[in-house]
Amino acid sequence: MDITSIFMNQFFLRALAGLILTAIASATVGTIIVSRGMTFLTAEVAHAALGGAALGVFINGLLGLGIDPFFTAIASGVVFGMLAGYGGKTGSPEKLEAAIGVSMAISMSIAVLFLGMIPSQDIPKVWGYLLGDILLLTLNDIIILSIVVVSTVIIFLFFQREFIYIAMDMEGAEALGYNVSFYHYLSIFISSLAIVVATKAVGSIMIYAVMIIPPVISLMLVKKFILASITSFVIVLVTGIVGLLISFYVNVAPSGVIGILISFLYLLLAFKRG
Amino acid sequence: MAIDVIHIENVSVEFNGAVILNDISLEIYGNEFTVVIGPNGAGKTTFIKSILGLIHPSKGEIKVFGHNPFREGEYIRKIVGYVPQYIRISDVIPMNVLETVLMGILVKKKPPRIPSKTDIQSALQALKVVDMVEYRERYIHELSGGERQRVLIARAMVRKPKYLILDEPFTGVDVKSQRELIEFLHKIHVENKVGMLIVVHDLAPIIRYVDKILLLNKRVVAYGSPRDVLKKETIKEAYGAEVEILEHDKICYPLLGDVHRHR
Repeated sequence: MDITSIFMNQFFLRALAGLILTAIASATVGTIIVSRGMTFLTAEVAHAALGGAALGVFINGLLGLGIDPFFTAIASGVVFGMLAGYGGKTGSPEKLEAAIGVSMAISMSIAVLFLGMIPSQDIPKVWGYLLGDILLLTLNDIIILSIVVVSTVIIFLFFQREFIYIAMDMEGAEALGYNVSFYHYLSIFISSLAIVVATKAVGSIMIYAVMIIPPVISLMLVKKFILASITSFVIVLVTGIVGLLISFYVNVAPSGVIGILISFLYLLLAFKRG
Repeated sequence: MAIDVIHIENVSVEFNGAVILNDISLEIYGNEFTVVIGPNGAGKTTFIKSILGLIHPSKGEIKVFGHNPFREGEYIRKIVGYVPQYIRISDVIPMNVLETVLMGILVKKKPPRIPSKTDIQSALQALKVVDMVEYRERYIHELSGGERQRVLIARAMVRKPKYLILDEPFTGVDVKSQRELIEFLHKIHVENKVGMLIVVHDLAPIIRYVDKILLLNKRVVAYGSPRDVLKKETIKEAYGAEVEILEHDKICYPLLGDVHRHR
């Protein structure tokens, strides 16, 4: 397949749109997550969404309602993200990480519970929320992802200083008079929302890689917060396009290739820095 | 003119059933240089956070210069500056010295809190007080402990507070920087007429400037001038150990080798 026909391919174009939106989420939400020391939140929220999707399917089967499990997945992801945020509201990274761990254990238990209570033919549908594929993005996925990402960018730009301040010195910010609780929960809320929606769109494997590793690399490379965001965006976009092209030529899963490329970039930098 | 006072009456603080502060009553004068000492777990940080309105006492009343720190938190934060321990500041965030000081002044503005030229001038003025203007473009994580502490003092000073509360500002700071910090604090106290309340675990370097000492161990063990507080029996009562007190040039130096945990 020649390069022109790849760029004209509908699957590739939708994947590219998904990639750009995910890169923006990484640049904004990912940078907040890494700077707050809550990298595990990505896994926790994605798995809470799995439980939410299972709950949605279960309720539909039980009551015959037509609720889209995507909405119960979003609600579950956000609620469990906020619960973790409540446990770590003092800003201590250790407490936050422990709260995320506890919250993940609860949400996974709920997921397992409901997965055992729904008809076996519906189980792959639920796992689909965790194992989305960037090449199988629907127009609906792109629209929802766009709405969430654009909202996230607006909130990020508007409250960027506050997010930086509470990440740097929550206690000092509170003593100065900043409403740290509000900004803490707002950052967890937009992070959780973006994680759930992006996970459904591109899959958890790729989300773990793009939300965490590029901001980590960026914060190692550049000294300005906004530059770290831009660098994260570029890393995701470049590795994403290369990964997509490789997947077209070699016929492998793009998420895996992109994940490996980003991880390789991190390892290269880590070894270089000793 | 009446002197501003921090009035603390029958204040107790409990967390999960554990008593952190027990029936504290005292008056701290707003024009004085006061230090708080006490063993680990004495409730020193809880004490200063209660004054700042960051912790709500289980009982009792606190009035800072006639104002309730919980109901009038916004006003209290204007007149009282707070300097946390620099070790609690994250190393991951790339934030430069000027932006750190601006954090103290931008709280007055609405998001996205874009600094004006006047804000930047005020921040530079505050950095001048602690001799850190030349470091304005440097990043916090590139600075030494003493330099970071000076930046945090500038951040607290940028709103020109009447009173400054510092939590263990000399912890993890080398001797030379410690001396410089003490001189800066003394200068701020004298020249800017800013009252000080400082939690320390080593009194010796700062004692020559101290007006009052509060010896705390969940309750007020002693409060008064250094000569009144620094007695073998009061120190033993607070720390549970015999401590030698040396007198030199009419100043008492307790030989406290107290090591504090960092949380």
